[in-house]
Formats: sequence, C-alpha cells, structure tokens
Amino acid sequence: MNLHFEDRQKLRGLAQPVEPARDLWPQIATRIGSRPRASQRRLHWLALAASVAGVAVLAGVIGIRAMQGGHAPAAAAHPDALIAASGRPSNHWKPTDPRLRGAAVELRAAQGELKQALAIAPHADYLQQLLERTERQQSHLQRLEHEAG
Amino acid sequence: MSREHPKIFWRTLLCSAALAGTTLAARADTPIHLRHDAAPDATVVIRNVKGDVRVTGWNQDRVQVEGNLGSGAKPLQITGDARAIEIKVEGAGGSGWFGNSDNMGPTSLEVRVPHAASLEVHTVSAPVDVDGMDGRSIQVGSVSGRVHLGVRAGSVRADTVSGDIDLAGTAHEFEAQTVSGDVQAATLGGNANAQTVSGAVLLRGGAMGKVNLGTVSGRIQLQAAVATDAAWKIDSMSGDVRLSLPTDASARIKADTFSGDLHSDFGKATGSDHGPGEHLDTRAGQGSGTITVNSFSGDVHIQGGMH
Repeated sequence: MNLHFEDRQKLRGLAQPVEPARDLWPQIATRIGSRPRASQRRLHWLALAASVAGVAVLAGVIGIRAMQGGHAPAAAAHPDALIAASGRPSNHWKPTDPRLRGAAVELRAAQGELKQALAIAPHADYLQQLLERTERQQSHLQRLEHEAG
Repeated sequence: MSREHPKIFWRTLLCSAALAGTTLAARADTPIHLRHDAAPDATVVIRNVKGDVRVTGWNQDRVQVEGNLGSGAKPLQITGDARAIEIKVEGAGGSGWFGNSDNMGPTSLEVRVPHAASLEVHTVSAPVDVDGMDGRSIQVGSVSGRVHLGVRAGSVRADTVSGDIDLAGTAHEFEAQTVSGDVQAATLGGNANAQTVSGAVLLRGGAMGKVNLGTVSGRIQLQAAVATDAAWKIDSMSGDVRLSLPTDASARIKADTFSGDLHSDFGKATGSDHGPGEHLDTRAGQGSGTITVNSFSGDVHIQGGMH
C-alpha cells in the first residue's frame, strides 16, 4: 500500500467545515468602527492609488499584446475560466447549503488526489475516468444547489 | 394589591395559555389522508424535503397517502391523472426545491401505490424505504437520506450525496451513485453500475453480465458468478478491491495495480512494467467473459471458491 495516499485519506476526514460557536461579526464590526478616521482616509487614498496603478498596468499589458498583434495563448488564461468554458466544474465552488458543503470538500480532495496520481501514472485511463466522474458528481451537486434556490 | 388585581392576573394567564395552545396547534403536524385513482402501470413521483418517505406496492389501482404533514408546509395534494401522479411536499413560503425547508417541520409520508407502477422519489434529508414493488423502473434521489429498496424491478437507479443505498431485491439494471454513502446489494443479477468517491461498494449476486464499479477511496467487494458474455470493469484509486468468484468461473481476467498488492487464486501475478505494483493476465475456464480490474494504490484480491 502507498502510505502517502492512506495518510491523505485520513486527513480528508478532518477537512470538514466548522461553524464558529458564536457570532463573530459584532466584534469585527466594533474593531472596524474603532479604527481612527485618519487611518481610514489614508487607506482610501492607498486603495485609490492601487486601483489607478492596477488599471495602468492592465492597460499597458493589453496595449503591448495588441501591438504584438497576437492573441493571448490559451494556457495563459485563468484555469477556472478554462474550466468554465469547457463545461467543467470550478474548483473554487463552495456551496452555501450546509448539506452539500461536506461533499464539496470531499470531491475537491478526491480530485486533487486523482490529479496527483495521474501526474505519477499519466497513462492510467481509469484514473482519468474516475476524475471525470467526480467532476460530473460536482456538477450534479451544483445543479442541486441551484435547484435549492 | 386590590381585589381586582388577582382577577386580572388570572384572566391574563388564561388568555396567554389559550394563545399558546392555539399557536402550538397551528404548528403541530397535520394528519394526511389522501387517495387518488391510478393505472396499474402509472408513474408516481414523490417529493419530500425532510421527514421520511415509505412506499409500499399493493394490489389496488389507486394511490393512498397517509402520514403527517410538517408545520410550515403547504397543504398536501395529489396532482396529475391516473397515469402520472405527483405528491409534493413544499414549504409554504419557499421557492426552489429545498424550498425554505429550515422553517418547515419534517413530513412523514406513507404511500401505497400499485405494485407495477414506475416510481420516482426525491428527498433532501428524508430517508426513503420502498418495498413490494415490481414495476419497470424505480428511481430515487436524495442528498443525505439513506435509501432502502426492497424491490424487484426492471431498472433501479439510486443517487445520493451522503446517504447509504441498499438494494434488498433484484433489478435487471442496477445503477447507484453516491459521494460518501455506501452501496449494498445482496441479491443482484443482470447488470450493475455503482460509483462512489469514498463510500464502499458491497455487492453480491448470481450471474452478472455488464458490471462497472468505480471508487476513489472506498473499498469494493463483489461476490458473484460470471455470466457467459460478462464484461466487468472495476476501477479504484486507493480503495481495496476484493472479488469472489466461483471456482468454475469462465473469464479472461486482467488486473493491474500501480503500487498496491495483487493476490489472485486464478493465474499468477507478476511485477508491473509501470511501477512497483503488480500485473495479472490469465484465463479462467473457457474465458468467455472478461474481467478488468485497475487500482492505483489499493490492494486487489481475486478469490475463487465462492459458493
């Protein structure tokens, strides 16, 4: 047996969502409220400056690519965008319904393990099929959550 | 304290008690007694979020619903005609299938349907028990409720997220899918397709034709005879696989593990070309069927001598 995977299985059992014992928001709200106004003003300016810088960098990148006349390679796109485009479920999906949350964690863990196994044995078709099944199950859960309203 | 004060006190207390009683009565479960004519081979669809659902086949051409409707649910009705019937429990203020279920009490449904009807049951957390049915199709979907099927149907399909699935009857086509629930069937025959992520697959039966079993980390056990034209495919990543076959089984058996151990009463396993695992390619009897087992790190045991 491969102990590495056994250990991962045990760890997976611990990866369950935990609800806080009390409502943490009032304390957070108090802390936010108690922050000095001057500090908040500084933060506003910093955020504004960061936004302007971000837009400038983005415009620069787009401009350079446009001047190069080429299209961005597919691999440069965000993996989630690629998954969404290909109809595969997103890895960042977190169901709001508590009845689906544990299963979502488990499916993500299983997909991670299968991808690791595939990296070691890339010609194992059955691992690819198992991975595709877990993705279909994740899509099924997403549909259920959508139906939950 | 004046003489009037005790009177006011008692009146207030009585009014409060009456009000509390009315509120409790409004929130209490409502008994269900519904009937509807049904064709012997009707399709019956039942939807309940939480509580429980028990369906029993009977020899009458009608559907009967008994039980208790949970507080906060809309009044229950049987809708449709004699060929297609629906029984749906919904929250009074909810939209969507899980429909505001946090504010709704559990509903208990005891449904009798013509035994040859086709059945479809959908629940969220309600366990489902189906007994005495022999129609062409039985389909059950649940999120966390367990599913027990004491049926003899052409096709049985069960789908859960975490609920266990238990087939205590027969089905020509048995299909089960779950994330963490276990799948069990003790008297299988025909074809079976069971897929889990971490749940166990424990199947036993007579001669099996097309079999497709898969798991990521759950264990798989199959004890069955091999039909003449059998095609079995069993895949696991880290779960162990155990097959029990009759000594006179007739099949070509191929098994591969990447790093798991491989033990077989048929043929002799050798070291794998692809990793530290093992490989088996052998013929049992005439080799009429095919059995293919793949495991990445789980162990594989193929035993003969099943009775």
